[in-house]
Amino acid sequence: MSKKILVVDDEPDIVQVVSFRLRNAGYDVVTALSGRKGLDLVESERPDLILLDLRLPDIEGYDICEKLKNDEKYKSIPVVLLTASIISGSVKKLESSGADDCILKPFDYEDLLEIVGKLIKKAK
Amino acid sequence: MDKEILTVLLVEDEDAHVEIVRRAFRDHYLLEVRLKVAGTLREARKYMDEILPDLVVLDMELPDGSGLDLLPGNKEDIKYPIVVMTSHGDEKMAVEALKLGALDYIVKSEDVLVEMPRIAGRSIREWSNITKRKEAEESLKNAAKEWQRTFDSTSDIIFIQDGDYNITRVNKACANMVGSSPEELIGRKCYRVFHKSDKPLPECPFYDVKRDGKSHSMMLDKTVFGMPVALTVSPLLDDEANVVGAIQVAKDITEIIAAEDKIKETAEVKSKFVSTVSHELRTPLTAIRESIDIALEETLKGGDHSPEEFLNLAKKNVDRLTRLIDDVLDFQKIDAGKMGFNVDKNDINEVVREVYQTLLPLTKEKGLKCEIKLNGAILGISFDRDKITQVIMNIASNAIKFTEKGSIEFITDLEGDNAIRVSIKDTGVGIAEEDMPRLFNRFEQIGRKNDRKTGGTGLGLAISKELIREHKGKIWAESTPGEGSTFHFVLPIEEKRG
Repeated sequence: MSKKILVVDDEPDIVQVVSFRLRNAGYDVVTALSGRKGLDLVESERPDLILLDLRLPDIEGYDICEKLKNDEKYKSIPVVLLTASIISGSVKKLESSGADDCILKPFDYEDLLEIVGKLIKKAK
Repeated sequence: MDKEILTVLLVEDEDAHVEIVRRAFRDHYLLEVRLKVAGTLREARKYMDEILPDLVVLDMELPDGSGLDLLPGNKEDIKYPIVVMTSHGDEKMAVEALKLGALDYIVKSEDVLVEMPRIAGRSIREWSNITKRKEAEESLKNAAKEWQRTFDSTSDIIFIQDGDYNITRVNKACANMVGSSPEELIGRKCYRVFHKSDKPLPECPFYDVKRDGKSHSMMLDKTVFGMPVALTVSPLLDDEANVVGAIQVAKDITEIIAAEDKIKETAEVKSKFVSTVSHELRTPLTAIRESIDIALEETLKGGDHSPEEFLNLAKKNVDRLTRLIDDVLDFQKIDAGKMGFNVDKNDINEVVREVYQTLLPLTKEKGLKCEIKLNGAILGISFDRDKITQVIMNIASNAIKFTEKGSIEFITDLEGDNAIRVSIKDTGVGIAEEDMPRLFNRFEQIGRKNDRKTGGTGLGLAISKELIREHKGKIWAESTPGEGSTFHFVLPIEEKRG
């Protein structure tokens, strides 16, 4: 059975290209355009990995990540943060959020697939 | 060497005596004297009004009174040396004359009169010494006064201490700051006065000053002087360069700190702006890069997906990038004051109608009703047509963007006697009250749901605000969340953009 990846980003165009890449690589993809919707899908879809944008209109990516990592049910799901800006200071926040990795936009999709693949293998 | 010609006024009524003096001066080889003679007090007064003699030789007994009457009355008011001549044995008169301002006295006899040039020379020299001393004293007094005035005029707090921290001198600013008179402060320990402490503070720069004989400075927050100060302590040295005290100068740096804060704040705004812009650039860039990559691969592989979908996505994001860059450049121009304005008489109703017509297809597409209510009484007013079009376009596009059902309404009306108002009303999601104050700030779209989906740059309203401000107008918004928003701006009728 193919692995399921949840993509949470409020930029529909980003969601579209990332989903396309992941599906092409053989993953099942579910998408959410807001943090709240993303959290709902974590519960209903039980994804094997989450790609999470940092800047979301309703809940910050950090907070979603922290919430998941502090929840016994979901802490084992790898979380990869997507961000368009790394400002000094946010690196610390990144570490404390418990995220498994972080990818800076614009990203190379091969890097993305490599990181995703490695984390899913590790989680098994 | 030319001999100096001295003017001597001889007040003497006995011709024989005058003649002896005249001859004595004439025969003297060192002094050249212009001798004026007055035989009465009246005549003498007349001369004294007209000339300033180098010396007055005054007989005490004159036909119209006593020579005492010609004396100034005290030593201070004396303008020229006066030597009085008394009769033999009249010591009392001599003493009286000296009290009234005479420089010297002689007891009159023929022998003495012959000696007049020597007496005159001595008196003039003595007088000159007295005058010089007086001048020196005066200039010393003036210098001290001048120094004190300068010392008191500076707004910096200055005090001088000896090596044991005793205050020896304070300026006015210092006394005022403490709220005591300078006299009350002198002699007290400076740490008691300024720090209310029993010993010098450990961080007092005077320790360093004593150690190396150089100036030392530190910043003090407002707890010590009631304002933030830069304190400089400079050594007071004796002739052997030993530190015997210090001059402490505390400069009020409230304004400097405020200016620094302003610079820091500007730098922070700039840095936030750059980081936000770079974030806003990266998002469309990611979409462009990936969609072109995918389109390319699909074309080469002849895959199942049409490259068209992804090329359109790329194009959409190129437009978004272009808009963002245009907006950023607009801002740059406004900030630098380089935004050119082309102000002319224009018809605001016509401008609003144009925007209405441009956006009509978009509202139809979304199924929104689009209405327009123009007040025909509005006459032409002065504004930059392109800039105001940009503002209306921006507000109206937002209205459509945030409205899923209902209507958009364009309204123009008079606002009082001196202004016109343009309002754009929607029945959209509205703006939360907490977002209102930030509505017109740069990049403040984050709290507004669904915005980025529609590709706003977050600069539109901020630019609109600046453009309206440049027209000496005002822009604001009213909203009930869930029911809709109305954006208004007013433009003055009379005033042209300054």
